[in-house]
Amino acid sequence: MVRVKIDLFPLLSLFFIIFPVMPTTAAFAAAVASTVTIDALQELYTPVDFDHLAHAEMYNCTSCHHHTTGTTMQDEKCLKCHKNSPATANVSCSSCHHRRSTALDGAEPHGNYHIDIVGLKGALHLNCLGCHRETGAPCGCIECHDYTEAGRKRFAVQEN
Amino acid sequence: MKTQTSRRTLLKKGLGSAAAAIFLRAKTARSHNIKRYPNSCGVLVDMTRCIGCRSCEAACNAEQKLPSPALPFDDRSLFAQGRHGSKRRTDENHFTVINRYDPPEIDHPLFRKIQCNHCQEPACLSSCFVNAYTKTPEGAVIYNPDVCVGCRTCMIACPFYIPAFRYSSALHPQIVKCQFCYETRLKNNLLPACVEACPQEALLFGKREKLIKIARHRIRNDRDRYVDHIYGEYEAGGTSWLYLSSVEFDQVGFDTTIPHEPILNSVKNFLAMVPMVLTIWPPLFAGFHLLAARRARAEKTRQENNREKADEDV
Repeated sequence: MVRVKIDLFPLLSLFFIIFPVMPTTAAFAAAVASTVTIDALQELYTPVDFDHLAHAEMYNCTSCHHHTTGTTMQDEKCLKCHKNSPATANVSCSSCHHRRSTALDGAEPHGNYHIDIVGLKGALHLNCLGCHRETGAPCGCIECHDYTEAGRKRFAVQEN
Repeated sequence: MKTQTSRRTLLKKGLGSAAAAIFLRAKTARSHNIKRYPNSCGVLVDMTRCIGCRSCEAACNAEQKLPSPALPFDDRSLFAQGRHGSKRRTDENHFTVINRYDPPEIDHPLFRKIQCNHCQEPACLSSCFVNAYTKTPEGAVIYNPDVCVGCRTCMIACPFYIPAFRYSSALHPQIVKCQFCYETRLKNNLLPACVEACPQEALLFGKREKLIKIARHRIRNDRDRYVDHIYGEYEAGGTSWLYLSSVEFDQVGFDTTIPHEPILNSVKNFLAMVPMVLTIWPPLFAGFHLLAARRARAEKTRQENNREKADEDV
């Protein structure tokens, strides 16, 4: 998953350099959510106000949404089955990535596929952090979400 | 002459039966294996995912009600603190520890989580003479602190140097280690605290057999990302905790010289001899001694009789 983005990034950058106006058109802005508040797992950290529009302008939909929405998938492993798959009704991460992730439960495997689906927390961190580490974006835990009181206690962090 | 021959025969037979006893005992001991649980659980640690955030350490500390750390858990300076290149290890206040490694062949650090690997055939369990340890059907290697006498044999037996000794307590000196959150979580169908806390899902809980399949799947699907080795699949007879890495395991602090045989197999034959030596040798050698002594006594009596006879004759 992470490696795909390495290949995509220069291509996408080039694309947006050539067509700088396209993604910021009114139609595009209307089609994507501007901010997504990620609070599904909020316990030790405050919710994240994810600037979805800014990321949607910088990257392809499939960079994060696999084949569920927007442009067609480019990962050849996914293309084997999802070449003509239409956008799904629900595009949120949590519709496929469930809260609890173990090798005990999970989606029914299709042969060699979909047998190792990460949970919601893993999907968010692996995806966001994977890209942030490669692009030099903020990577520290509290750079995206601050500690809650419980979090401060858990990590034995002194109050500032 | 006749006596000498029979004594030699006796010696031969004695030694022969002793040797037979050794080998027969050894054979029965070998068949007495620790029960393996086919449905036992484990955790797959994917080191390519770990970012060294130490959330697992913090979760373990909270779950096991361990004392507050000297430095907060988000302090990463700890990774560089080893004296003479030494790494942090588990102790009485840290049942799990994350260490940082900088292998030269990759451009980013790798983090290795250490905790009890919950062996399939635990050396600690077999070394414990008060039977404090138990391998549960869920896969956890737990111990009963009430019977632990603090002999520290398990610390020597463990190939991963995991059991720690509570040196700080003079009144309750005993062994402490990761228990797979057995009492508080595993038994209640909850994930171990560290697994639940991992933001990157570098820790995956599940049935060991399935984890191996998933590990193989990950290796097969991304050959550039992983080395083709699941650490713990065979090491020390197999462990419940399994590791995946992007560099060879010896570069990230793993002992790759650990045999694939359970540690117990290296000492089982010798240990089986100990009770044999204690039970058979004393009567055997006492018998030899008595025979030898009787012969000497008989000789002495005969000589005395002869002398008396000679005296009488005179």
